[in-house]
Amino acid sequence: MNAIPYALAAGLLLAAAPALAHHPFGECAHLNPETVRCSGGFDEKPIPGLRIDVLDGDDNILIGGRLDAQASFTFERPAVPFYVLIDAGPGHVVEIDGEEVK
Amino acid sequence: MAQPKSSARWWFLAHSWLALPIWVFLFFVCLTGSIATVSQEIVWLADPKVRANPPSGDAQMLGYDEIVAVIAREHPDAAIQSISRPVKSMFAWTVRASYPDTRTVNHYVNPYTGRIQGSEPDGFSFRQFIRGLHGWLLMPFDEGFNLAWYAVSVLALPLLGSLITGLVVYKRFWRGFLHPRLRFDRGSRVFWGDLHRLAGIWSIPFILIMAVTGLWFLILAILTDTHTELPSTAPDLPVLVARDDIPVVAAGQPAPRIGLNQAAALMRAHFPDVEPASLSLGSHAFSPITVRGQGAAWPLLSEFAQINPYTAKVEHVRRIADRSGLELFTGSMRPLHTGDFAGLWLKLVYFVFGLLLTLMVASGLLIWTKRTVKATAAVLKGAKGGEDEAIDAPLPASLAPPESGAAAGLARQWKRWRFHLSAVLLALPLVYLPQYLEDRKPARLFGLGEREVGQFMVGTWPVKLGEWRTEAPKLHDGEYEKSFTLALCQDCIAQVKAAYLRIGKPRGDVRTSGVLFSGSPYRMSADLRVPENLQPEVELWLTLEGWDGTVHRQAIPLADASPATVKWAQERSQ
Repeated sequence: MNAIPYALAAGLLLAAAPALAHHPFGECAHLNPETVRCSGGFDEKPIPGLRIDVLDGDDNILIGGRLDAQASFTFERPAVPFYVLIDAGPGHVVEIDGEEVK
Repeated sequence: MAQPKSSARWWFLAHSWLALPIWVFLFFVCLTGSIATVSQEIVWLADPKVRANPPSGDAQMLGYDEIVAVIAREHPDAAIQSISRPVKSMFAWTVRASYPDTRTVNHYVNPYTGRIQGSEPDGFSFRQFIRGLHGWLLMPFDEGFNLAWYAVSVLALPLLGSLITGLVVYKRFWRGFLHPRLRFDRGSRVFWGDLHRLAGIWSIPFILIMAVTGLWFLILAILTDTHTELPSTAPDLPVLVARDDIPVVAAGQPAPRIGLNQAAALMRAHFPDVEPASLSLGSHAFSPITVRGQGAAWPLLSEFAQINPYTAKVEHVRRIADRSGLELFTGSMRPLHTGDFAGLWLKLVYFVFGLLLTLMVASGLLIWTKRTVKATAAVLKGAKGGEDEAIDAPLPASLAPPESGAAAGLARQWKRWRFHLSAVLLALPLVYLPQYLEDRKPARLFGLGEREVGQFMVGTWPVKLGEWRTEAPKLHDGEYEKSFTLALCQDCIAQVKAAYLRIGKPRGDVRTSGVLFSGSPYRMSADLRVPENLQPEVELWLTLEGWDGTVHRQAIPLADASPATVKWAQERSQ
């Protein structure tokens, strides 16, 4: 549902918040073969403090933490298949498969 | 003003020509705007059910929970979304609630007696109509702001220009305050001229407000359509209730929530001087309750608190003081334009000055027809002599009516009608009116969208999925998005905490379930992000999460959910 006519209809333009898409983002890359660094944020803005979890194929949390002051998080690459969740709140979660980490 | 005569004359001509070619359009926008400013009061006059008549002089207002309880008692299947009240205390509470047939109904509840005075489903509303007529000529919005919005808001420029040039040409205009002059006995040109000047000087602040705020609407559209965001002090993340804050409860019931009275009290602990005027219950289980009221220090903007309904923690407060100067300025533009922040008296002031401005457009035209043609010709010809002489000079040959013949007749018509041509713009509302009315018919507003995909069992919960529009994903800020709707079964509402949708199978962690559906349980909606390289044979996965912690999932082939999206994916893969 296109947000603009609804915002207009509801008279919400007073909030002066243009109806831009609001999405979390995140990416991970190898610093070296053993180390992975992920970064993330929301609306194209890096957000320190976001929750980040590294999970195995059975959805057990292997490593959990928060993005640091640079909105990044560095961890040792697990020996097992894994995926990363950067969590900006319910419905706003980025999922990165370990296979896709370059 | 000690300008040379010729300079004064050019200013005068600039003033005359600013509004003239568009006078019909400007007249229309001023007139509809004047009506729009009191549209709520017109509804109040016309419709007793929106009034808040107290039964006796010392009647006490009911609490927020009591207002909600009235609806819950008399409409057990209603899902209440919000309760709100305009700035003015003469209005009833409006309780917005949704129903199993997906209607959203506004119930007007007397704040003193709790009586539901009337109920109105969403649809045609006089207020919205007059606002649409004034602001965008009823033209539908598709992507971003439409052309009519630009056409109306760009009028701020001639308005501002008219004000500035008007003050320059009206020599020592401030004397008009002390010695107002309105001559009835000197012919119509003199009368209209006096009126134009008198109304003009008394309207200086109003015209300035309308021009500046109108200009803001133009800037807002440009910013939005160019995806430019101004610096913001709003939180970086959406304010949501943490997953861990919601207690897991036994099957068949939602987690206990605080009431609106408590939420309002928590808000008032932060804003002792702010009267809660709008309480929103949130659009899904992770939404906070938002309690909002008119700012005490700056009545043009609201202050609000967002409260965790499960822990009663105040998750976020937004004060006037939290806003930057730029935000205060831009946020004040709309209330300043509509006059909706101080009560009835200000609305009436706006209405009167709006009508005066409308009258100035008309009187400006009348003055023009009586003299500007001559003045222009005089200046172009470099006529010597005083301004009045120039004005009263006979028409030069180039502007005089042609003698005869068909071509001459056309030319005469052109000369006569050219400055009324902006009236053609007024055909737009007529053209768009049928669609405007159609879009507000129940068949268009209600239901799950253009296509009901079907009923699916997700675990033990039957749900209906809908495709909002039977069209390909739409590009929105660089991302393709597709909207789906979902309706829970009546019995499921108390059991289901949240519903999610994603492309492809989620993993075991519930957080990987995708985008969250939000809205009334009778029609929730979700904007699904669609990758550009979407495979046509993918499945959508619907996840329902119960208040008891159970998670159920169901795959739905994209070919069933949205054939239009499959077609789009196939075309892109070729």
